[in-house]
Amino acid sequence: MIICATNLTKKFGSVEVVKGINFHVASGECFGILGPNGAGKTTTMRMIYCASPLTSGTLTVFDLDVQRHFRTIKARLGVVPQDNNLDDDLTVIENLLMYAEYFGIAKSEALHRAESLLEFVQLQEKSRDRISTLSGGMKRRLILARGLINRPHLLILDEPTTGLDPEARHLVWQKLRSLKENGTTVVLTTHYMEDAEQVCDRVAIMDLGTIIVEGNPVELVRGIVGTECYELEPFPATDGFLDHRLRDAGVPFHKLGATYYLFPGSATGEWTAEEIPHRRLLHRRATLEDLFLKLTGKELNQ
Amino acid sequence: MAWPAASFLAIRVWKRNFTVFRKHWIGAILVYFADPIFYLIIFGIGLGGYISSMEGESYLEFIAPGIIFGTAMITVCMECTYGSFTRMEIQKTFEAMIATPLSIDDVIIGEILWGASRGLFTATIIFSVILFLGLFHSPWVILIFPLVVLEGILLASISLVVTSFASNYEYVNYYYALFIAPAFYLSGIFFPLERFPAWLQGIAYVLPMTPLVRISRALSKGVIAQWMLGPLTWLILFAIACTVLAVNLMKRRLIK
Ligand SMILES: Nc1ncnc2c1ncn2[C@@H]1O[C@H](COP(=O)(O)OP(=O)(O)OP(=O)(O)O)[C@@H](O)[C@H]1O
Ligand SMILES: [Mg+2]
Repeated sequence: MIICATNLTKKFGSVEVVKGINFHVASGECFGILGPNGAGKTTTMRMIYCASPLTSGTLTVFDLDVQRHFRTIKARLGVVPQDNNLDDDLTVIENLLMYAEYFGIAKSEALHRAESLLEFVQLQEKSRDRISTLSGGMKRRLILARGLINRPHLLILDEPTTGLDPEARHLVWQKLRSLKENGTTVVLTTHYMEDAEQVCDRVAIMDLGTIIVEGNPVELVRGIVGTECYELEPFPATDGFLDHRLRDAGVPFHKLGATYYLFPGSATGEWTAEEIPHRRLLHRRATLEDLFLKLTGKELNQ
Repeated sequence: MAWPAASFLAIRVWKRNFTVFRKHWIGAILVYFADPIFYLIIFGIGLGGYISSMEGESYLEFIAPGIIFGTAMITVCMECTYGSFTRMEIQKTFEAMIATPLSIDDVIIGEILWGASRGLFTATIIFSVILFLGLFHSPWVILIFPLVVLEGILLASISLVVTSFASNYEYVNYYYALFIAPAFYLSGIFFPLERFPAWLQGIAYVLPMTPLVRISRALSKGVIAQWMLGPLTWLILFAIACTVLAVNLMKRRLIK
């Protein structure tokens, strides 16, 4: 196992924000930690990269205890933190070279790696520029490049694609896939459920410091919300009637604003979506986002 | 309170700061040239014109060694307050560093070594000026350099202790008023401490600059004496204690 967490707990003062979670990540796997804001994802990641001590429980990375062997562990990690912390006193390429220096990578090798990473994140032209002149997405890309400078065995990515344009986002996911093929293990958080569904072998959905479900995203979706979904916006007047009708027919659903999300997979009674008077109706494949909303939505659960 | 668990990797933190410094070192030279030269001109030549001799030397010779330590002190204190605070709080450089094999201990020890190096750099410039003006008459003045390093480590760690409590840049003003200015003006750079009332002398003697000024003034006269051992031991112990304290307080602040 690359990561093994047992009863992992983190308290800030008296507030418990990670509540005794258990999970493991196997070699070569891509593991996604999903969850609403404040769920405890970043806190968990920070414990994995030895930046934050555990309150209780055990956590091993590469079968080493994070508290005692942090140097050995960190030497083999690549980290993309949620908050940008590029070095504003250095240029783009100097940021990579200095990071390589922290890892003790020889100068010529560092230069070679830095140049190819800049090419990968398409920042070659910005090489000599100051950090303050980069756009938000460019900073994000540079941080990703920085996290790869030591050719890590385990990559820890805290919302790596937040703020990236669609093309850059796709490039990042593609690069992740190719790193994975070469045996890199990846742990990531993201709020893009579609990406998580495509990239992750397994996901854990966290809320309020606990893991609610864990498993292969496609199987989780199929098992919990089924394969299809109706998005339906009824005429306002039919609201109360609709809730009643759906419960009668045993159709699982949740509401978000004016929209109903119906999952007819496990319906027990006779019904059709078309029978309901509606403004808008969309029939589509059920996704991880549906599962996510169903499990973590605060106002919408039935 | 734990003993700092720093490793040789602290050098990499030093190297980072040096890399940044190298970009504007010419500016730094100018700044640190200007300051002491003002002191030397205003006090040494201006005021010194009214003082025929001070403990057997010209007034300029009297203040010269102290100016080295005084200016080095200001450099170190600015670097480890403004500089370190910016890196820690504004730029999150420490946070980025500890995601690599570096530990917080390495980062703080690296900052202390860097602060001391800045002091040494400044001291070297002023030393050269004073040497050029022919104000030194003994080869023992070369011992000023290890003393400056000791001063640098001590003041860098004191400054980092203060920075570990800081929530914004305002705190540097308090630090200046309550520590830097008294340490500078009560150190006996400009006149012998015997002029002060006893209670003020008492304060002066626990401030780190006073023994440094006394010892360096003796060195510049070619004196090496046994009385220096006491103050030196005090400074070394003081520096060790403050380093341990700085590392611990910074860890308390940064590890969450
Ligand atoms: N240093 C800290 N001190 C006190 N509380 C903290 C600290 N860091 C995080 N928290 C709290 O811990 C909880 C979990 O925060 P965390 O950053 O892990 O959430 P997250 O799942 O990463 O959320 P997001 O999706 O917004 O990034 C939040 O309630 C947050 O307020
Ligand atoms: Mg987060």
